[in-house]
Amino acid sequence: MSGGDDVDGLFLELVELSPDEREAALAARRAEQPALVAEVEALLDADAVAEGFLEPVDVGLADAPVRTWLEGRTVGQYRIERVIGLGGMSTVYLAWQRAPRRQVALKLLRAGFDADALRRRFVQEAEILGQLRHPGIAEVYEAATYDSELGPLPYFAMELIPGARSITAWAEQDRIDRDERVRMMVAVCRAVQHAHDHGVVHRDLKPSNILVGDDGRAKLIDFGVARLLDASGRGATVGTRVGELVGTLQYMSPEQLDGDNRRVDARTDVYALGLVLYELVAGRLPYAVPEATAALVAARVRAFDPPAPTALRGPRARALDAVVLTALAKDPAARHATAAALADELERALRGEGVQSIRSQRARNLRRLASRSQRLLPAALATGGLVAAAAAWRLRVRDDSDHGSASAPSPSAGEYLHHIARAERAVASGDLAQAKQALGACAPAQRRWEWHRMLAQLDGSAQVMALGSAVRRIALDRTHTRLFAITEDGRVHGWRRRSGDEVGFDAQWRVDTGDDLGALAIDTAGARVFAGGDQRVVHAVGFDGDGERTMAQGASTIFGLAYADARAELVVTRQDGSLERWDPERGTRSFAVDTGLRLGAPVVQGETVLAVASPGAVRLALDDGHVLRSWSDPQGPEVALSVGDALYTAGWQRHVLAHERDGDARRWPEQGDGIVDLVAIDDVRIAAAGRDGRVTIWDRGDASIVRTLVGHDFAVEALAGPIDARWLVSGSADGTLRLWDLEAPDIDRVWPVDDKIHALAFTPDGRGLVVGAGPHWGRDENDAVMVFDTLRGDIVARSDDHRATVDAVAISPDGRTIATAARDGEIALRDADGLAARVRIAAHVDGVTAVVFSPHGDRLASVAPDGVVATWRVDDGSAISRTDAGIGPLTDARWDDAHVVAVGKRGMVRCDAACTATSAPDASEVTALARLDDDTWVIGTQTGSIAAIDRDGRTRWQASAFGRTVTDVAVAPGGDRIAVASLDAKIRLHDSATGELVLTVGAHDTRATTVAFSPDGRTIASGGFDRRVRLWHAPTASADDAR
Amino acid sequence: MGPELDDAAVPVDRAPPGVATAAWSSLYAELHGLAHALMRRERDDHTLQATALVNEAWLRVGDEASWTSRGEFLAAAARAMRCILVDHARTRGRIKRNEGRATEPLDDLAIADAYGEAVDLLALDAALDRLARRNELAARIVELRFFAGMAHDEIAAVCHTPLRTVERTFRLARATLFRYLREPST
Repeated sequence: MSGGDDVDGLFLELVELSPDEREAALAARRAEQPALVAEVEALLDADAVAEGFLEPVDVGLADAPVRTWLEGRTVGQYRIERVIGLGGMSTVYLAWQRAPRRQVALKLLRAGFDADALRRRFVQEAEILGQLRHPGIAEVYEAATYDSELGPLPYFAMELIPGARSITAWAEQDRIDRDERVRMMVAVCRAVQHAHDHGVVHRDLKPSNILVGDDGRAKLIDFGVARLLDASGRGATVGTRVGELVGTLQYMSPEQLDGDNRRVDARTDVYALGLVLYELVAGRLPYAVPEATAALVAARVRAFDPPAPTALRGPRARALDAVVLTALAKDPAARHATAAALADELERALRGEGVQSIRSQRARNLRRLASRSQRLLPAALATGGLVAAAAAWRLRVRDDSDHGSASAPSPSAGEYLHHIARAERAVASGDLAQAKQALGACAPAQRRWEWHRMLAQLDGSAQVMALGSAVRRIALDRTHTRLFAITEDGRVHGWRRRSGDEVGFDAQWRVDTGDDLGALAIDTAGARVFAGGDQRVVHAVGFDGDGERTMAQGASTIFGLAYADARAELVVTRQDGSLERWDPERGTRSFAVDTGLRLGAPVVQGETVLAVASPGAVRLALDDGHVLRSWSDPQGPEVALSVGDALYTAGWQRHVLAHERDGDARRWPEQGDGIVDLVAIDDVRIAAAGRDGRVTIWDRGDASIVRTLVGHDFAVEALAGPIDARWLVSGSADGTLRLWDLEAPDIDRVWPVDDKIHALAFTPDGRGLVVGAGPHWGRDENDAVMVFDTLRGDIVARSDDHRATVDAVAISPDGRTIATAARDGEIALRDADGLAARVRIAAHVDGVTAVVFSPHGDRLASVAPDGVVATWRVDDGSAISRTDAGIGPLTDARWDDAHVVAVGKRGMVRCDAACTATSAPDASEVTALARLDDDTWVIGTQTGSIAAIDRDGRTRWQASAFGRTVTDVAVAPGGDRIAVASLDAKIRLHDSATGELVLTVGAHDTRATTVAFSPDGRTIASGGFDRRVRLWHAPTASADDAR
Repeated sequence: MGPELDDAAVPVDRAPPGVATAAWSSLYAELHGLAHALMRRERDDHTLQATALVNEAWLRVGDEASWTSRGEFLAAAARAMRCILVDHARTRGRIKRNEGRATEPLDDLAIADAYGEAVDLLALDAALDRLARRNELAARIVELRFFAGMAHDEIAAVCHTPLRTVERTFRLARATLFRYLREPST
């Protein structure tokens, strides 16, 4: 470039001007300095195009294009412009054909992939495509070989699809509505059928092989792994050996995953079309497949029944669901026989006609579920085995990769830790289903704190009831002692509440109605349950599952049921718009009217019925069915809830609409994928069932979420409760009911304090947490001792009377005395109640690093940077002994009977009147000490390792703690786990028998300084320089686990 | 954490002017460990912005050395990130593709080029050096923005330059680098 500075300077002057102003400035110079002006203009052009260039870099990017050596070259009669796509063994370029002059897509085998087999496959693809002529398949113009310096490379020129996007990208980016997506897929199915008619199975159908161009048409590409069928319809092996897998794991059918190529045929393509349909309709794939090994993917695909796609997004469309799920049948024989059949069914579903797929779908489900549910229900009902059962229901086949057998979980510790590690990774990457499966694989006897912790992260429910089929509706009777549900497989389920303080349900029964049920109601006085649906009849069952009979036969599908207690009548609403009242005793109809409205989810309130009716909700008089009031909600809600003066409607458009008294409607913030049920918890709170699997609790005053309940794997369909104003029941498409305690504490809690935390300790009853804080450098404010109430989360006592940072705290075994020590060397002995200092001791010269009570609580030991171990009487603070340990500055100490064991910069000592050094070769620069058992100590070191040392100074084991200084260690009450706080801010959990890392529990924002287990073993508390006390809960863990 | 670094591996000569060797070494080691831990995890749908890495490093070593300001720290971190990423790209050679996910065809290659692609990260590094010989401020601004995610006003503070100058100079730098990368002969 010429005259760098001038160019740059001129650019800087012009860059922020308007085009006219720029032109004016340049015009003058153009004649005199044409080269300069040209340079500046080139830079200005680049500036215009480079918007978005040099955004801050992402570390760890996955895909990226690779510019190749072919750009700008001529291959045959094509001039290559640039790379437009990268495939497994080929690269696709944009190229210009000489004659006829047009742009084409040139697909070349990638240099380096010149193995004969692959080359042959490439050539076959060209031949295959050359035979197919269909508007839905990209046309091949020519196939030839290019002589490059790397040898002959086959290529073929094919139709370029301008503006090509994968069919899923097209649908999302252009916000295509569901019907149009399905119509596009009908065209794709017809194209696939054309290929089948010519004996070609694609075998690798997925969104990136179905491109939609600017003209809005979809075209199939990449028949690279296509297979030719011979005349008899069975496939000849062409270029693929049995067992060799091709195609993308995520989109592979069960038979492909089995590696058996002989079973791959046209119906394999039907399955793939089903997956793409599923993704287009539901917005996601039915199976999450994080593992790369085919065996694991195969296990999951084989075992998993995906939920109906329209249940996950958009309005329900049962016919479409049936078609898609039929295409996804595990057994090829159960799928549509041809792509054309699939296309026909889709068209019928679009037109609103009946489809053949429904019956086969339900029948398949009913047959399969009979065997599955029976095996699992008893396990599901036992407390403690809940998630395992739920996880097992989701994935019947266990992960085979560990030991190649699908037997019961093996009790080996190594395998347990492997499952834990897998679960940890899955939780981190958000794959909850995988995490649950990993936890389910752990033998009950093995489960420790980390297992319970992750369980709580995945599932906050108090009880899980596995039903084996997607739940449609649930209901509680008015006494809250009976719970009922209807499921997709046509069953009615009932439970009874357990007696006792803890809320829970058992004694389940179920009745198979053989119907497609959608409505549920309860008559508490008469102890009867009513269910109805497609068969147009009401099934009545007693509270104990007995006395089943039918009644209320009508002309049209039952949409909703509700019971009017005051009148002892059953209210029935139907698809044809009729509203009926029936006397369940006599089985006669007392009233019927055609309201002209399709009323859903009816609720009886006094003498009125509240129901959703497109487009909104209505309240009708129970007497004669006339409309008293109506509300509008354009989203066509699924539920309407009346609380006080307000009415709330919600549906698949993700927000709740709050209808105020004065007629205004307020939109709540959007949540998840849509809301299908609402329940009032109290005057203030409403619970919402989310399609994303979460139950959200809202404050209806300010429309904010106060709590989220996590645990279901799929859309939550129904809610019931609250019981005792505190418990909620939810039912989900994942086939489970879950019970929630709304007052259960969060599993993570964070309490901010004024300054950096240096020490903390639990009181013996576990209820209090004593915290010592203060600045790390100088400054004389904010040194404090605080006592938190762990239940309420607030500070119940505080003392600021130390004159320097509080570095150490300890509590006597009887819980009545608290010792605190500060950086000026002073120790204070305080009453646990109120923290009043009884005695103050000027103990050490330049600080105190640890204080510890003796086992009887009558003596206190202190150690300090001055290298001294001192002991004191607790009652009056008088000195008992004072010994120079002889190993330099001391960092921590513990009692061992009548002796004090202390650690510091140069190792470990054991003291009474005098100190004897414990010669542990690895115990140098020790920063923390804890007692593991009668004979063993755990230490943490400056270099970031932890070790177990026995009383003779021998190292039992040593483990790395990841390279940063260990600041504190704590042993779990059960003795099986060690919590480690580190300079790298993390809190980690290690196995006490081997030192192995088990779980990274969590992290502070900066250096963590102190960690402790609660006496019941359920909580780990930690503190750090980020001025936070953090509590990590595992609510179901117990100190008894290890014993 | 990542592979242990010995003193020789820390490119002391690449520290930005005015930064003490000890501070630079400590920061470099920290970022190195973080970046490697991240890249080894290979979570393909979960990338991390360099800005987040730098922030994490700030929390860990920010109060150890005597950085006069967070801006000074960020400038050093940007330089360190650049060294680390370029070294990584060099040793890695080709970008690894994920299994199981086909590449979408690209619409505009030019912009996509600049992101993390092995060849072009090295090309960008070379282009940045070339730009630095021409206009040191321009190269510095790009480094701070691209590798540490600094906003223009933060950059202005660190470089003791008016905000508007930073904005315009950034556009100059961007346009120049853009041309260097697309037409290496210019």
